[in-house]
Amino acid sequence: MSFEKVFVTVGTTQFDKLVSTILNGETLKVLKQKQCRQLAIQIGRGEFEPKIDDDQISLTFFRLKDSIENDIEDADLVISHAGAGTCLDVLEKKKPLITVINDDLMHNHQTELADKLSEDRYCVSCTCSTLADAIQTINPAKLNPFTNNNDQKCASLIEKFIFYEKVS
Amino acid sequence: MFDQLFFTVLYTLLLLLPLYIIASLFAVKRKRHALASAQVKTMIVIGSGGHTSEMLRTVKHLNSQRFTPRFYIMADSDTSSLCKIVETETALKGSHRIWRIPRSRKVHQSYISSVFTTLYSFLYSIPIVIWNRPDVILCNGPGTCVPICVIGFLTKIFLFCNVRIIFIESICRVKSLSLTGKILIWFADLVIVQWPELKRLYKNTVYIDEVKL
Repeated sequence: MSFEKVFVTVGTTQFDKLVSTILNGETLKVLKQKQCRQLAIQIGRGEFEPKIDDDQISLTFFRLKDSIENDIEDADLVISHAGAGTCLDVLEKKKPLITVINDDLMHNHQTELADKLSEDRYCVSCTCSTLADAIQTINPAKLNPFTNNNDQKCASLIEKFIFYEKVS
Repeated sequence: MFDQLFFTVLYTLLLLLPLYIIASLFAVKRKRHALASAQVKTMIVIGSGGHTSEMLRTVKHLNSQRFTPRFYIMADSDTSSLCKIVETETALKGSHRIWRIPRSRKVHQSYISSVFTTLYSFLYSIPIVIWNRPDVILCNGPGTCVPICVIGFLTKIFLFCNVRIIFIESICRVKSLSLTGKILIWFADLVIVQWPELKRLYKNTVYIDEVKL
C-alpha cells in the first residue's frame, strides 16, 4: 500500500509534538517507504514551523483554513489529532485515517469519539511515539468501512415520536 | 471546564430543582396524545460550531412539509450559524423565521455579570416561546438551549401547551452524556443518543438504531 499524498491536521489548537514527530528521521523514513511524495501539514496555532530538506518529499504547510475538505479529498492518507469533527469528515470521505492521541491532554471528551472509532476498527489510533509504526502497519483494506446515516435515522426517529408517539 | 460546572450548578439550584418540584405537584406527566395534525410548529435551538452543523444536518432530513413553520433560535453574535441556517432553508424552501437572542455568556465575561446576562437572555426568550407556541422544540446543546427548554417545560405546566421537547446528544459523546444532556434528561420528552454505550448507562434515553428506516 502506498500513500503518495499525506495530509496531517492538528485542528484549531496546537499540537507541535505531532508536527515535529512527522518530520523526524524515523517517520520520514517510513513515509518514503510508503512512496510519499507530497506532505501537507495544517499546523493550527502551533509555534513550530515545519521545514524539510529532502528531494523526495515536497512539503507545504498552512495554519488555518475555512475548510480543509479539499485537502482531505486530495490525500491518500490522513494523520489527524483526535478531534471529533475532523475524524468524522475524514471517515465520511472514505480516507484511511490515523488519529494521534495527544498524551499531554488528558480527560478531554473530544477524544472519546476517536477512541471509539479506533476500537471499532474504523481507523487506527496511536501516540506520537508509535506514529511511525502506525504508518508502517496501517492496512486500509482491513479497516471497517464507515457509514454515517445518523442524521437520517435521527430525523426518522423524531418523526415517529411526534406523529405516532412511538420510536420503534 | 470550571465555567461549565459553575453554570450547571447555577441553573440547577436557582431554576431547575424548584421548578421540577412544582411540576410534579401539577402532575405534568399526564397522558400525552399523538399529534393528529398534519403539521407541527417546530422550534430549533441553534448552538454554535459543531452543534449547529449537526443540528442542521438532521433538520435537512426532516419532512419539511410536516415540520413547518420552523423557528430558529440563535445567539445574536453567531454570524456563521446564521449563514448555515439560510443555506439549509434555501434548500428546504419552507416557511421559517429566525429569532436572535442575546448571548448568555461571552468569552472572558466575569461570573457575577454573567448571572445577569444569563437572566436577561432567559427573560428575553420567554415571549418568543409563548408567542410562537411551538409543538416541538429541538435542541442539541450547548448549555444555551437549557433556558428555552425550561420555558417550554413551564408552558406545559402553566399554559397547558402540548409541546414536545427533544434533545439530541452529539455523536461525540460515547461514554457519558454532556452536562446539557444530564440536565435536560429531566425535562425533555425524548433524549436521543447515538451510541449503545450511552443507552446502557441512561435508561431514559433512546438509541438511534432502535428505529428502523
